[in-house]
Amino acid sequence: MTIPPPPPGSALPAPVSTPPASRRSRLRTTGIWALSTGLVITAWGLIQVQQPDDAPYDSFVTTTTVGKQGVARNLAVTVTEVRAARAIADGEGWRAEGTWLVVDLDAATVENQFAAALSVANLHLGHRTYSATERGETAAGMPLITGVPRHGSIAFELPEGSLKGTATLEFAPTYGTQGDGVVEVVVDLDDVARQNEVVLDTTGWPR
Amino acid sequence: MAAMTTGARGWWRRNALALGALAVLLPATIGGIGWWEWKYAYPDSSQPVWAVEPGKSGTTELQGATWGPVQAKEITDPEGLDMPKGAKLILVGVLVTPTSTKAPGCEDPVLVQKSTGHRWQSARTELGLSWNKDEPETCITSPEEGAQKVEPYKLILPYVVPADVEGPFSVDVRPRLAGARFVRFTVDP
Repeated sequence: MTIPPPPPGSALPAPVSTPPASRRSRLRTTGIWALSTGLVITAWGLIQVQQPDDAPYDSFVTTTTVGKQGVARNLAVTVTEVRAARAIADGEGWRAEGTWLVVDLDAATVENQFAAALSVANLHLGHRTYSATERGETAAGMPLITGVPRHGSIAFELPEGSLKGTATLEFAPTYGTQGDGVVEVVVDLDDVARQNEVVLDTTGWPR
Repeated sequence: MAAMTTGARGWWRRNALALGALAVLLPATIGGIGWWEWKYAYPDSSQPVWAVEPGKSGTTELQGATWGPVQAKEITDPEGLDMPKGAKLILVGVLVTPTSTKAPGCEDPVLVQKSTGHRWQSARTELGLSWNKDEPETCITSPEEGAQKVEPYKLILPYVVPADVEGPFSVDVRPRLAGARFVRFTVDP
């Protein structure tokens, strides 16, 4: 393996050494491109797994159905019955006609009853949200007790003919639900029994 | 070499006053900020962080009153009260003896299950009882600011808890203006 001496007058050393140098620079360019592409793809991937900016304020939602208890951090709710009526009345002599959805429920706090009540009682139907009526004697805003459910009825007055499809009831023990537990109950309004008049349950212990 | 040493020593000597001030002010700043933040986070937080527990006598002093002794009993079948199924009544009595002419006010004491931290408040209304001046749930304050001394009285607190909840419990009383301090009794009815 002896290197034969270069024939006199042949190519200069420079052209001989140029091909490796250009290969190296091409290799470096490819490397930089690969690294950049890799970083861009990684950044895109991170954006895909990233939560929205307001995610820290999201509620922790427990979803349940009618008759089954839903438990959030400080609220345990069981919707015992859902009824629809053309008129509702409480035991105190108040009565109102309209398109009503009446929800009977048992509710208790889980950890702490201080300042805890059935504060949030909303119905999400389509793109609309209705809050429970504050008229009459209902369980809307009733104080809650830790581990011992209280029973009562809440009522929603809805536009005529809107009692169809799937609706979601939303409950929380305080008005501020950011980063806290919320119980949602899915209701199929097509399955709800229609009555002419419904008398609201008296707020008290479950019977 | 000798010149450098004298030069360095000269620098320390020239700045002796500033260095001395630094040695005092730096720890003072750290200590001052630390103390201020600590004070803000604890005594001035108005959060109940310091429990004052009674000794063998069952009583303790806080904010112008002697608190205790405390009594607690479990009532499984209370007559004449509107009780739910699957629950029991824990009746707590806290003797309060105001020692100054300014009787301290307080919110209704809280019953805390020690093992879980679950908290209850008295449920007079839910039990079908109306307000009664002989069975107060919150502290009795002097009718006029410091006008007369309030006689010793007893806080009567009916708690409705699930039947399967076991003690020991603590009864936490937070006198107003007591800052981060509160009275904690331990009961196991």
